[in-house]
Amino acid sequence: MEELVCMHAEYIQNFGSSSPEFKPSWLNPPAFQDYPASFKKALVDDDGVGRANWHLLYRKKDIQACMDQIRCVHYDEEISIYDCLCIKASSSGFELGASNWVISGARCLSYFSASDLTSGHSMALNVASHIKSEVFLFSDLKSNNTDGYDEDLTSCSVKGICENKDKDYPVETKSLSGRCCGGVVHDLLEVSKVVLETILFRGSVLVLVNGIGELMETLEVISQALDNSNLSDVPLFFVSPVAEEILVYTNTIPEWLSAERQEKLYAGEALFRHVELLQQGRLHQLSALCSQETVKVWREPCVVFALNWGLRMGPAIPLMLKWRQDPRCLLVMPETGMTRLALAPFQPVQMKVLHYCRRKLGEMEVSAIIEKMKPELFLVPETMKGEFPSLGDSDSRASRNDIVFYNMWDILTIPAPRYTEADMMAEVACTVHPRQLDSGHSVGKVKVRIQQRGGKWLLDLPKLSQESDDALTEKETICWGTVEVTKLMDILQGNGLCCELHSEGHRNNSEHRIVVTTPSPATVELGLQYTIIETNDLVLRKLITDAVRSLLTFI
Amino acid sequence: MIKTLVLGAGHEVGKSCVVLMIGGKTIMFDCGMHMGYHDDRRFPDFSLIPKRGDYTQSIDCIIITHFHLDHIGALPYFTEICGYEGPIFMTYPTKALAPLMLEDYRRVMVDRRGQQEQFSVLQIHDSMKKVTAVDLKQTISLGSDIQFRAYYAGHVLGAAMFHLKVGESTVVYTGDYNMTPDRHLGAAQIDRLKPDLIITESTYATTIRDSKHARERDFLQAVHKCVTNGGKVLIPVFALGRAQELCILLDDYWERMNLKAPIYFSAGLTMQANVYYKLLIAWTNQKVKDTCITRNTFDFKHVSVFDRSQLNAPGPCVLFATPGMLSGGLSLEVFRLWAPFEQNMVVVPGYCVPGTVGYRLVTGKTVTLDADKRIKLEVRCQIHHLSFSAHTDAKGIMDLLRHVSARHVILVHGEKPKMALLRTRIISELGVPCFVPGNGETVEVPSRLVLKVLASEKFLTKSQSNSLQTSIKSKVDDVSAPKRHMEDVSLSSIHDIRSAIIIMDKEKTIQVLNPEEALNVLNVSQHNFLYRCRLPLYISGMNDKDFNAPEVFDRGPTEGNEISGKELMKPSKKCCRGIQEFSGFQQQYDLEDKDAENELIWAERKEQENELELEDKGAENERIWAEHKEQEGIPHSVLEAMVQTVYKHLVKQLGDIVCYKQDNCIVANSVCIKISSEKTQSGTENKAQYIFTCTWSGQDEELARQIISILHMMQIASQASA
Repeated sequence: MEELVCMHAEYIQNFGSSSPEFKPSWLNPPAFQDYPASFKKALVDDDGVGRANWHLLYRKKDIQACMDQIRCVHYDEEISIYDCLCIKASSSGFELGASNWVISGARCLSYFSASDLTSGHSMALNVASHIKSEVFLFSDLKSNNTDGYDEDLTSCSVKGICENKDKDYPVETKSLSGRCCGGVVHDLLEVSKVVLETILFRGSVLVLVNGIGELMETLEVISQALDNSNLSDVPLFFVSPVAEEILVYTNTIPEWLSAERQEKLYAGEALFRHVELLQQGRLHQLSALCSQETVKVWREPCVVFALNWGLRMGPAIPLMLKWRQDPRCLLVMPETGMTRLALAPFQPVQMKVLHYCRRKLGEMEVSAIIEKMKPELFLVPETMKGEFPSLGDSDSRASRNDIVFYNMWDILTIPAPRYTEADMMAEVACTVHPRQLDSGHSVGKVKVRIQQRGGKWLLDLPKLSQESDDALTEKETICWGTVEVTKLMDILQGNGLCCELHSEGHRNNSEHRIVVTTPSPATVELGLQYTIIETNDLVLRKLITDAVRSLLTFI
Repeated sequence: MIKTLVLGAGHEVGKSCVVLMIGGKTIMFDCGMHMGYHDDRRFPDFSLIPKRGDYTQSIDCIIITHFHLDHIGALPYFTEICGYEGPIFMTYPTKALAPLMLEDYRRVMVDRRGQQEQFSVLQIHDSMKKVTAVDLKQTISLGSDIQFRAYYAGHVLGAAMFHLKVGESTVVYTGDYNMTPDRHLGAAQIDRLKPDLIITESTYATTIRDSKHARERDFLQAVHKCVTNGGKVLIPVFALGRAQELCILLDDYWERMNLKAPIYFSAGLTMQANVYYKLLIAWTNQKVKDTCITRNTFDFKHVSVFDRSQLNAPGPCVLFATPGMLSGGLSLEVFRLWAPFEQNMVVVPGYCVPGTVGYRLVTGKTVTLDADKRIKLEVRCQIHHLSFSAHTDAKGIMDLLRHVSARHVILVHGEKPKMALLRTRIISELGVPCFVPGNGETVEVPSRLVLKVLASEKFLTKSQSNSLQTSIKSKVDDVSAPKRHMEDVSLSSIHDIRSAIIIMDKEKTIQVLNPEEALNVLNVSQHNFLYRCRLPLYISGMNDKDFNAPEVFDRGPTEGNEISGKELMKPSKKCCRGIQEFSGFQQQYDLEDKDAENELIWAERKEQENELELEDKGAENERIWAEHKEQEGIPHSVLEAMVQTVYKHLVKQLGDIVCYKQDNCIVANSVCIKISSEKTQSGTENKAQYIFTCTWSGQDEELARQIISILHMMQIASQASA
C-alpha cells in the first residue's frame, strides 16, 4: 500500500496534480456534452454517475489509520466474533501469510482462496485444519480454460523459445519481429532458464512479481541459476520505495515459512538467500530508479525485480520504455489474462515477454481434497463446471449432490441443521427430574441459561440473581392427555362435592360440563384439549385443579 | 478428574516437570533438570509415570514452555535414553534456541567439569528432530481429544504458557512468565480462560519488586562506577535471555554516555545466539519490532567477542560469561581470577539455585569461598545482586490468577515456605482451592463435566436475535478504544434464560427443545388447563356521547413508555398469533357461538389450521358480532369504546407486560379478558352492564389476579363517579 502511495506521489510529481477537486477536467460532467456518444456511454453508467466516480487515492496516514484497525492473527488461531462465530485462518501456501479461512458457527464452512499445495517460500497449504468443516467453498482455482488469453500469447509457447536456444540469435529475433512473444510457465526453473539465456545474449531482464514471497523465491532461483552458469557478476536490483523494509522483514518471519526454510532457522542461517546476496553486493535494494545510488551501481545487463502494478506505474515504466525496443531483453510478468491491455501503451514491443503463473489448485487437487476430507457440500465456481467431469458426470458419482456450482452475485442458502450440538453443564443435568413415559422417552423440564462461547452453545445453570427476574417464565408448563369425565366425577364426589354432569347441549361427546353446587358453585368445562374451571371459591378451585391435574400428564 | 503428578519443581526451583492425566490422556509439561544436583536427583523421576507399556505409549505428548535448562534439560535424556518417541511441542524460538542451551550445558559438564556426559551432541539433535514447533495462539489438535494453544509469557524469547483442553477439562500451565515487559520482551498475555486448573510458577511468591526502572538505573550506575575506577565487571549469565537484555541495556548506556570500556561476550555461542534473536524479532516486544527495520536491536555496537587472552589483560571491561549462577565453566574461572580484587565487581542477575556459588554470594553467607575444594578463595570484590529476574513477582502471580480465574490452583517452581504463604493468600483472596504438591505427589481436582446434547434450532434461536442484538450493541459500545481487542469484551456471555424440555430417547440421545416442539416429538397435543372468572361491571351515567367523544383512544398508548421497550405488536389477528406463539402457546380466540354467551373456544393448534380460512372466519365473525350487537340494541361503537377504555387502563396499570387488544378481547400473556355487554333489566336508560370474562392458565395466576383487581377498582371508581 505504501508503495502504491509513493508511486502515486511520483506520478503527481511527474505529471502534476490534477484539478483542485482531484478530478481530471475531462471527467467533469459539464465536459461530457462535447464528447462523442460512445465515449460518453463509457464514462457514464446507467445511474448517471458511472466512471465519473473518480476516487481519491488514500494517503500514508490513511494506511496507518487502516492498519490500526487490523487485528493480527496467527495461523490456526481461533478468534471468536462476539461469541457467535469462530473464525480461523489456515495457511493457503500461496503467499507469505496468505490464508484460507474456517468459519464455524451453527455450521462449519471453509473458504479456500488461491492455494498451493507446495510452496517454495510460505507455509504450505494446510488441509488438516479444515477437518471439522462441513462446507468447502473453493475460489480462484486453476482453469484449463484459455478463452480469456490473448491469442498471440498462446500461439507462442515457452517451448518455442527453449527450442530456439541453440539457433543463432538473429534468427530468433526475426521469428519474433514485431510481435510480443510470450508463454505461460508454471515452473520457476523454466523462468530462470529463459532469464539465463537472455543474460547470455546480453539482454536485461525485468521481473515483475505479485507477491513478496514470490519475489523472494524468484530472486533465489534466478540468482542460483546465474551462479551455476558463472554469471555471478550480473547485478540484481530490487526497485521499490519499500525495498529495504521488505528485505529486512522477510528475514524475521520463520513461523510463516515453508518447512525447509524453518530448518534454516534451526540451523541459525538467514531465512532467505537475499541476505547473503546483499552482503556480497550482488543484490542492490533501490528505493527509486532515479537516485544517485542507482547511478553508482547501475550496470547492464542486469536483472531488475519490481512489484507488479499492471505496467501503469512504478519503476517498471521507465525500464519498459527503455527496453521495449530491444529484442534481447526479457519481461517476466505474472499471467493475468490482461497482457495485451497491459502492454498496449508500450507498443510496438520488441522485447520478449514471458508469463509466469503460480500453480493453483486445479480439478485434480480439489478432487483429492474432497476425497480426503469428505465435506457435506462443496462449492466450485460455475466457470469450472466443465472441468469437473469426474465429480459431476461420471457414472459412479452420478448421484452425488454434494457439489454446487456458483456464480458471482449468487446467494446460496445452505440449510441449517434442525439440531445443533450444544454443551450442557453437568450441574444442569442434575437439576432435571426426568419422568419416564410409556413411549420410552424420559422427559424433564429445566431452566437454563443459554450462552454462546466462540460459536458453541453452552447450557448452564442460571445465576441466582437472574432467576428471580424470570419468575414468570418458570411457571410455563406443558401438559397433555384427556380428562376422563367419569374419573373426574369420581374424584370430585370422593372429595365430598356435590356435582352434576351436563353433557347435553354440546356438539359431541368429548365435551362436557360439570356443575358443582356445594360447597360453593363452580363449573368445570371439559374438552379433548381443554379444561376450564370457573369458581370464585379458591379452596374449591384448588381441589378441582388437583383432581384434574392428577388425570393429566404434567411436566 | 484431572490428576496432576508433580515430577519436578515441587517445593523447589529446578527440573520442572508436571504430568497431567485427564480422561485417559497423559500430557507432560516441561522436562527440566536441576542445576544444583549432580546425581540422580538432577532429572525428574520418570519411573513414577503410570505405565501403559513404554514411555511412548504412556505419554501422549510433551509440551515444553521455554528453553531454560530447568524446563528442557532432561528432554534429550528422556527421548534418547529413556526412549520416548511421541510428539513434542514447543514454540519456534524454543526449538531454535534449545539446542544451543543444551549443547552449552553439555560442554560445560564435559569439558570443564570432566563429568560423564548425560547425552551427546548427536542425541541433542536427534531429540530436537522430534519436536514440532508451534506458533502463539495456534490451536493444535492432537487426535480428537487433545487441544492446546500457546500464549505469550514474556520471561525469555519464545517462552509460552499453554492452555490445554482434553475433552471438556481445561488446564493452564504457565511455565515461567513475567508480567512486566523488559528491554526486549513484552509482558505475558493470556485470555480469561476460566480453566478447571492452573499450574503456575511461584519463584517470587512473596516478593514485591519496586519499579524496574530504578533497578536498571542502580545497575548501570554501579557498573559505570566500577568501570571508571578501572575495575572489571563480571556478569555470569546463561547464554540466552538475560544476557541479551542486559546487553541491550549496557549497549544503550554506553552509547548515551559515550563510554569506551569494552563489553565482551564470552564464547561464540552467545554471539551465535544473537543471530537467532535477530531472526526471531517477531517474538520480542513492540519497540524492538518497530526499530528492527532501521537498526536491529541485537546488532550491538559496543559488544565484542571475548578472547581467553583478555582474561588477564589490564584495564576495565565488562564481561558476560556463561554459565549463570557461577555454577562452573568460564564464569567461575573468571570469578576466581577477579574476585580477590576490591575494584572488581560481580553482578549476579536474577535467581540462583541453592548449591551454586552464585547462591552463596547472594545470600552473603561467606566471604571466603572454597570454590574448588582445595583452594580457599577470599572474595573481596563488590557484589551487586540484581533482582532482575524475568520471573513475575507476587503481585504479578496474583494478577494473573485473578485474570485467568481458574477453579483450582497448583503452585510449583518456588520455595516451600514462600509458597505456603502465597497459598494462604490465594485461598483467602481468590477463594479457590490451592495446592502445593511436592515432588512425586499427585493432586486430583474435579473437572467440569459437560454433556453433549442436541438442541433444536428453534430453541436456541427463540428470542436469540433479540438478546443477541442488544448484547452485541452493548459490546460494540464497550469498545471505545480502537486498540482494544474484541476478546476483552466478548467473554461477557451472550445469554438468556429460558425453560427447556429435555427429552432422552431410548438411544440415550438427549434433546433440548421448546415446549411446543417437545409436544411434537412426543406426539401429543397440549391440554389447555384454564381458569375462568366472570366479572359483571355496572357503569352508570355513561352514554354514547361520553364514549364517543374524546375517550376513544387509538393505539397510541401502546407506544408509550409503560411498555418499556418490548415491541408491541399491532392488534391484528396475525400478530396475536405471533405473540401467542412467543409465549409458548398457540391459541386462537374465536367468537363462534352467539348463544353460548361469548364463550371462548380454544381452537386447534395453529399448525393444523389453514390461515386463509382463519382470516375469512375472523372477518365473518366480526360481521356477525356487529350484527349481534345491533340486535341487542347497544351500538357496536359503544362497546368498542368501552374496550378501548379498559385496554388503556390496563396498559397503564400493568406496566411492562405485553398487553394487546383484539376485537372485544384484551390479552396479556395467557390472560384473556373478554368484554361483552348485556341488556340491562333495571330500566334506567343510562346504565349499561358489561361482563368481563377472564380466562387464564395456571402460570398466569398472579397476573390474572392483578387484572381482576384492576377491573374491580374500575368498577368501584365508575360507581363512585356515578
